[in-house]
Amino acid sequence: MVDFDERIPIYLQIMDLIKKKIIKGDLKGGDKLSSVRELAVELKVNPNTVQRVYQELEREGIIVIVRGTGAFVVSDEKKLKEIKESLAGERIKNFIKEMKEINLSKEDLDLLLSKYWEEVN
Amino acid sequence: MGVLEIKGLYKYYGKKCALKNVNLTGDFGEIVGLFGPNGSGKTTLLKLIVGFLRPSSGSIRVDGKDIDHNTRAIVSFLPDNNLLPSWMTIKDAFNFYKDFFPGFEEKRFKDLIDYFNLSMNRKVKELSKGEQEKVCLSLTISRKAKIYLLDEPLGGIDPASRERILTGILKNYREDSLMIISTHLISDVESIADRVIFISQGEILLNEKTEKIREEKKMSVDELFRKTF
Amino acid sequence: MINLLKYGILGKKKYYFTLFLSTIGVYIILFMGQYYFKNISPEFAFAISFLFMLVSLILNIIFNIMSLDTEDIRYLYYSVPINPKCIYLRRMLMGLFETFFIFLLNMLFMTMIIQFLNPIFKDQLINYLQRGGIFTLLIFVLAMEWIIIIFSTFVIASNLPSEKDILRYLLNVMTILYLLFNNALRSMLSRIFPYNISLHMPQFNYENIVTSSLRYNINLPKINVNIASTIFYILTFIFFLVLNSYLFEKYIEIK
Repeated sequence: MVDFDERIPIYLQIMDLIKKKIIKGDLKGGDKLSSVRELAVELKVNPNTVQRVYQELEREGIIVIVRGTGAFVVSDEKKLKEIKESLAGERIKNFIKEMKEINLSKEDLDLLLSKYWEEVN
Repeated sequence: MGVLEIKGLYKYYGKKCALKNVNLTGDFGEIVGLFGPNGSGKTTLLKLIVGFLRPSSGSIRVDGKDIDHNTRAIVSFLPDNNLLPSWMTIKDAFNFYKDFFPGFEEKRFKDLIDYFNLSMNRKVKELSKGEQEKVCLSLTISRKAKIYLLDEPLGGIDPASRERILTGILKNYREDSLMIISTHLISDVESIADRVIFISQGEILLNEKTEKIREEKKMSVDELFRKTF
Repeated sequence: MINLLKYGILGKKKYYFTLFLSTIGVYIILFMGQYYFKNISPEFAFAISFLFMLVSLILNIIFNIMSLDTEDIRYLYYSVPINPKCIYLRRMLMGLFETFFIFLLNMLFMTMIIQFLNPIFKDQLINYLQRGGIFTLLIFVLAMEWIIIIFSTFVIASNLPSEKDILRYLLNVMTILYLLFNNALRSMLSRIFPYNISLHMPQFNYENIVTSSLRYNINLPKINVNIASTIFYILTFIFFLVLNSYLFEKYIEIK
């Protein structure tokens, strides 16, 4: 189903996956996440990895773990917006780094962005 | 204290040293990948843990106790060649396990057999290699044990069946037991392993958490393995 | 142990069936031979049945000893949390049961066929058994078991871990020496301790029975049994059984 890049810690990739789902709206505020075991089987990863993912997400304030019931996405709109921005922010930073490596100026970048924005998807 | 403790383990076959100064621990809830080239001592190590072979020196303790025939009640071993005599049907094997292993989980086994699309009255000698593996795996992990040792559970099996087997293993994960999977199909197994052990010529080269390897070395376990060997 | 026996027997269903059928087959052939050719003497019938029984027994012994190597010292039974010496003892028990089974089966059919040829055979046989013949037969069965136990030592020696070379060598040498010299030892013992018991144990003289008539040969006089040599026999029987069980429990490795 999902193919993970095994050169990068898998737990980070799963965290990304969940964050993306939240941003896209597949997972809405207040939704219950799959149990650790179910998700592990679905993604074909070690349950401890999923456990760690949920713990990290809870630490970041994105989900809440209710003992005995499960993990839930937070309902806080502001928090969700934060996540979106930070996720986008990470990627944009990486992207800018790559563009700087090929010596692209900000003006050229703006032009290219406008040109290709419509083309994609 | 972990469920498995190995200290200073050596195993000789005559003059040949199969295992040299192995020190390992294993905890409940872990899935450990034991990776090494052929002849590196993987199978020897597993057989020592279950008690089929006896250490030349050093100690192995399972659940705090030395190894004797009672250890086999809490260690479940899946060998890499066929476990079952050819006269048996799957049902015979089921009955055998039910009779000899206290706490054998009948429903779990039946569910697994269904999941693998097999039926109870098939004869062992009529099964393909992949199907035999699935039956033996189902028997092994339906036992209620503290340590599960799987020796090359994916060897010689088509990719589709391999995935099914791995999912079967994951579905039956137990938090209160340790699982050690030895294989050279590392890329299949690395995403389900918490911890990874590299063994070569009887010596442990690496014993590390999987994610730590990815963070620190920025490569997959498979790549690291190829680099090392 | 009961479970072990259950699966041991289940596993040999085919073998037992084949054995049963071939035994019946031999006797049917004998019977038809008599029916159509009418020239089979009771002695000949007896000789054939006895020979067949002997062959079955010897083959059975060989199969049991071999299966110790090919079936018992293997992953499945060793994975079970029982003392490994039970695995060994199970094989010995099965050998004993099978010997009895072959023996009784053959005797049953033998009696039926020979009775047909020599109507007083049944009474002669019962007479023989009552006069102590039953002990002779029992000893015969135990002797077969003795063979299984002694030869299983070789199998066990070959499955010892590779460090135990000395032990393996000692075992093989000891067993071979015992096989070669046990008779001489026993006669020596009976000369040193010439205390005998008179037993109603008619000797079973196969030669005589075949060459002369059955009627006269199932009535042989009783013999004297030397106590010392009998004790020696019993002790070594027990010794090998205990030794092999111990080795099986402590030293066998599954490679």
